[in-house]
Amino acid sequence: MLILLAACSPANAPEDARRQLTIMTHDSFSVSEVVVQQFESENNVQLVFLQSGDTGAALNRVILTKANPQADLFYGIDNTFLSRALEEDIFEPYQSPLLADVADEFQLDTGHRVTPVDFGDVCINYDKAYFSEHDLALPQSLADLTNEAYRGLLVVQNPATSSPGLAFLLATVAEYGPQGYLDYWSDLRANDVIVVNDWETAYYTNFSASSGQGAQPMVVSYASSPPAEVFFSEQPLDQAPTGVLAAPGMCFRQVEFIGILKGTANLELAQKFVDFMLSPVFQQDIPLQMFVYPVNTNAALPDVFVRFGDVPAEPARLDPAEITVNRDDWIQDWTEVVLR
Amino acid sequence: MTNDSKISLEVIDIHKDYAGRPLLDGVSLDARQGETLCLLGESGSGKSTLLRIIAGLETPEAGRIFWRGEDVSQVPVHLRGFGLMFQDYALFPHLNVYENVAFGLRMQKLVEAELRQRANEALAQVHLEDFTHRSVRELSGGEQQRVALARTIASRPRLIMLDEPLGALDRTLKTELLAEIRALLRATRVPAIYVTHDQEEAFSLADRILILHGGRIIQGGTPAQVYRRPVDAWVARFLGQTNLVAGKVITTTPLVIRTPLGDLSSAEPPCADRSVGDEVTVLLRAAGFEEGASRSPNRLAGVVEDSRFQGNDYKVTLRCDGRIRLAFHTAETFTISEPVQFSIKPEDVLCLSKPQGMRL
Amino acid sequence: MRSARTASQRLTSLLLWALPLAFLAVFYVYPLAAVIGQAFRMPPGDGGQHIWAVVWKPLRFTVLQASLSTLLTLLVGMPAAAVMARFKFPGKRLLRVLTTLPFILPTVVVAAGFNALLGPRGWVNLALMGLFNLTDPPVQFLNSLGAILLAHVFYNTTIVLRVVGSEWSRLDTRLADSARTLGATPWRVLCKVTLPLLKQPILAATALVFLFNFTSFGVILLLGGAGFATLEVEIATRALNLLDFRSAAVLSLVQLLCTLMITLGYQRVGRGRVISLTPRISGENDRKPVTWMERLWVGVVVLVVVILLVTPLVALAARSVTKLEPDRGERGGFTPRITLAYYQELFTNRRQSIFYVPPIQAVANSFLIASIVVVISLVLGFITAYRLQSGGWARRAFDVLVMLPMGTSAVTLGLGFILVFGRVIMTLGIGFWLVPLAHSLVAYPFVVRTLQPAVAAIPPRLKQAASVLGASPWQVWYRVELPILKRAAMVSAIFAFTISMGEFGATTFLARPEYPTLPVAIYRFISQPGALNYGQAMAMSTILLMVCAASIALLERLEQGEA
Repeated sequence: MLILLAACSPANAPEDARRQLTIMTHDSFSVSEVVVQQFESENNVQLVFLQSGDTGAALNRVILTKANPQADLFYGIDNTFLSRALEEDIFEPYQSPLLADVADEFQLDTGHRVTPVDFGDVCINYDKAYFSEHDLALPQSLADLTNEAYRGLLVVQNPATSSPGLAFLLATVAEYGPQGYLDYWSDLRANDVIVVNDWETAYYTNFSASSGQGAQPMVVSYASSPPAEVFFSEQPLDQAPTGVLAAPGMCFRQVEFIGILKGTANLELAQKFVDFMLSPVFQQDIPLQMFVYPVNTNAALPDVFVRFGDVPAEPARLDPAEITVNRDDWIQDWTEVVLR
Repeated sequence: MTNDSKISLEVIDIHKDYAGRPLLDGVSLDARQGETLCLLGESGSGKSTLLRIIAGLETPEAGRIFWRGEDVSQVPVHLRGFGLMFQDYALFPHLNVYENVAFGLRMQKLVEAELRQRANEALAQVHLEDFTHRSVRELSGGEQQRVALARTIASRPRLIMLDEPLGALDRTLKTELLAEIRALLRATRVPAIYVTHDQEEAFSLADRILILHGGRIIQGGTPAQVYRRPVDAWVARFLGQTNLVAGKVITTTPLVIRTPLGDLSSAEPPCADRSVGDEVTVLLRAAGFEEGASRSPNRLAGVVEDSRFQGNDYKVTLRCDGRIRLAFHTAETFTISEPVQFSIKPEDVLCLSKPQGMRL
Repeated sequence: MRSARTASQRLTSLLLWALPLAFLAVFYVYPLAAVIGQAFRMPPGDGGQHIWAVVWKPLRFTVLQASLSTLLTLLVGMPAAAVMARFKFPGKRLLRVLTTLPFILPTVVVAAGFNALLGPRGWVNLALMGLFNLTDPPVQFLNSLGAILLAHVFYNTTIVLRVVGSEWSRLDTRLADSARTLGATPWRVLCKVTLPLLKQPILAATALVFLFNFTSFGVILLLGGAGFATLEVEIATRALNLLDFRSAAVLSLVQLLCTLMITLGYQRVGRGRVISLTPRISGENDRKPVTWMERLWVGVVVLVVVILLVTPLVALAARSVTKLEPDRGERGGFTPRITLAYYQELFTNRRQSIFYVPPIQAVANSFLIASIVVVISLVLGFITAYRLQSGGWARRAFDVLVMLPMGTSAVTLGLGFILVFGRVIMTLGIGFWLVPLAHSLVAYPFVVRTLQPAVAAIPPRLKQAASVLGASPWQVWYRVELPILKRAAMVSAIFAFTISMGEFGATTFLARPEYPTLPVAIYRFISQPGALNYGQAMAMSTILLMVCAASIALLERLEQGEA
């Protein structure tokens, strides 16, 4: 007990002999051991990844402790949270030379306080077997989803509690505008859209093509979910059991960023790590670890992504600043229309 | 403190309050080596509390406890070496008979062989040799009582205290166990304090009886002394002597008391504190009955209300003077409703002081 | 001399108070105050709603669902406790272990278990559809209030079963027998004798169940769907997704205030002397049911318990070895097949991820943490249960304080821990202790509530008899009280163990990545698409179930073996 009590005063924390670089991340972060080892041995440093819940929880942690930061870098902030994070003034600007290999569309912060690392598209996944068995045509637009043919066939997530849920809401805002999206949602509601709170329930309980064997053949998930279904299948598949509805405007692109936290004692090393995350070694490791796409155009995609992946050509877009200003209102209005 | 080398336990001036009222109001007593004291009193008189104070389970407001001249008042319970057998036995429900008995021995950290020998010895003393592995919850009341007794004596305490140990048992069992307890206490040769409200138990066990009443010990002595010469009417009645009549002293030599039954002569020796005009209570011993008009000065008359055979003699209840009821032991029976002339020998007429506020 | 003795007693007493008080002050009050203070220094959220509007709806729903859930839990739990306490029947020991297991399961797994059983393509619906030739699943169960209530009953029945059942089995049957001989009907005996005697444990169980339901989070989120929000869900949504700390702090305070009132109410109702009865050792009073009425009664109660509590577990375990996938992305006529592929996959690090958790390591971590939690919470719980025996305002205040951690928003407390101990987490070795300490904070009220009635029920005479026989205070405790309290201690230990094994929320906040627990590993699987991930989550859950079942069975055997 005495040791424990002593441990409670943060000032007493002893310094580790080897230098540490701490990266706060969300729970979905993953990386190969060899990749980590490469950076560690090149720089004689130990990397510590603090997984701190989902994106919101991790960002929370960073904001709550910004006066006394617990990490050197924060990875995992996306464009739906970006402006909110920037408002808090928690990042140290750094312009990586490797940004030259990154498309402009991902470089959402002109001040380079955050650096894009990867992107993924939130799209509706569909159960291929269901649609062929029922001889049902695939919806070609968001508007199609309100057709009688698709009544009760779509499950979405609550944007107040789920990141893909929010992304899909933003896609509808981008498509119908801040004035029209609520009408669209009341049509969806009239067409018996199912709303659950989290991706896990939507995918594994409601979605018919998942192992959960649910009732809905369409679910809001990621464009990378079909390759994941192939990669994580029990035996080799030559075709993904699920497909992606990737028509223009139907998907919302999430870009994930890393930022150096203000107050870091390892600024130079942190910058090296940002460079490392943009380097092909790390970028090529991303798809199979986190099932998102690398932003570096030089990074080669793994076979399963090339064969089964589908990057939507024209995803919906919204300005991060506009998202920050309106996000809470959009969610609250949505809640009134869809849930009450 | 006294220097009497035979005195083992000495309890001096114990005061203890209960719910804001004095429960024990200056109790002192001593116990000699090998002596069995019976603490006799009504329920609620504080007898159990006194035992618990001696054991160290309760702290008195004032008073000291000495063992062989050494003040043990501050010694914690478990180091006093006094044994106490609880009223409801307080057997450990999680231990079997043997382990209950061995408990105190384990506390003394005896080697296993000696422990076993002594536990078995104690069990043999209470005739429970065959019960060793039984659960205490399967035992009858009498068996539980024996286990508790064995548990108390097994650890060889220097003082044994028993708190109403026979309270819940039936009469035959009581008589049987009483004999066993007496034998056991004799055998241990340590002082014992036996608390009870039953004067029969007290008479059959005690070397000395102490009567606790109103927070004090109001009388002490051998059973015969206490029975024959109760210190006051309360004690007499408590001991089952109910032939009590209120009266007033009219002469002191010889002692004559005027009562509703007439003037009664007592053979009691004159004493200084008795003077003419004192309000007193007269006790007529049940054995002092003589039929017919003898030469005795105490001639009385009554009507027979009840007559019961009691084995050796009859217990006859008479109604005298219309409302006073007296009971006597007689050799012969009487017919109910028959008027009887009788007399009481002056040596069986005792003059007791009348306790304050007591109604007869 | 006497004053010296009481002074040393006072010092001991003070020291014994100090330990639990320090624990609560450092690991509860301090982080909570820090995070709420911090929240009020932050700008208000963008919503701009009146705070009452934010509070009222979730508050109303929270009270409603918690009351209904508690009522239903008692309705299932009390007859079950009675049957378990009074009757012998085959499989009783197994049933007792199985009924404890729901408690350990992370909600995400429970949701999967319910889905496997009652979902649109769960066994129940498949069976009904096959039986009556239906095209649509007849049972629309998920995302309803019914699902929430059922899940709460599933989770919390074991509390009633354990807390009430253990005391019930120790009740002296002679009391009920004597009431019967005095002409009371069995029903009257139950109402006039048995239940009043069990008042303390019943109240304790009710308070625990109610508070658990009151702060329910995962069940509401995952099984209730988007239409329902309790205070806790609202707090999490506001704090974690809307970054509206102020509203979250206000909601946390409202929740805390409610907990305080519930606890005060509990204290008020529960006031009065605890009746000490000669404790009976459990197992002494149970017998085989003899009349057909008794057999029917036992059978019905056991059946209900099995259906409600055991079938979802079985569905889960069955799912971990069943392959439902069609082979080639085509659905046509597949038949379920038995497979161990998911278990094999647990042992391979397919992606060479640095976050791969070997199942043995997850089991070892969870087991180590849970064991520490058992020790910490039992030491603190024992001290507290004894301290609560004494009277006075200090005791009453402490009694309330003990319960508060249960009714405190886990999200808020988790954020508080991070705020206050964030630096500690970074320090290897010491940081490890935060997870078991946080778990102990959750387990502590349980342990206290389980131990306290048992401690109070020990007749003082037994302790006195022991000290008269020469036992020192320590020996009295060790040789007399502890053996008598063994059953309650074991129940507490099981609660502490299972709470720790299943805890997920605080663990994700506080765990260093080196020490992932089983629930963390489960979550890592189920948060990604793919049959293998789902299967591995089920397999890992089954492992969690089996580790816990084995531990509980061992604890029970330990308790009964020595009796």
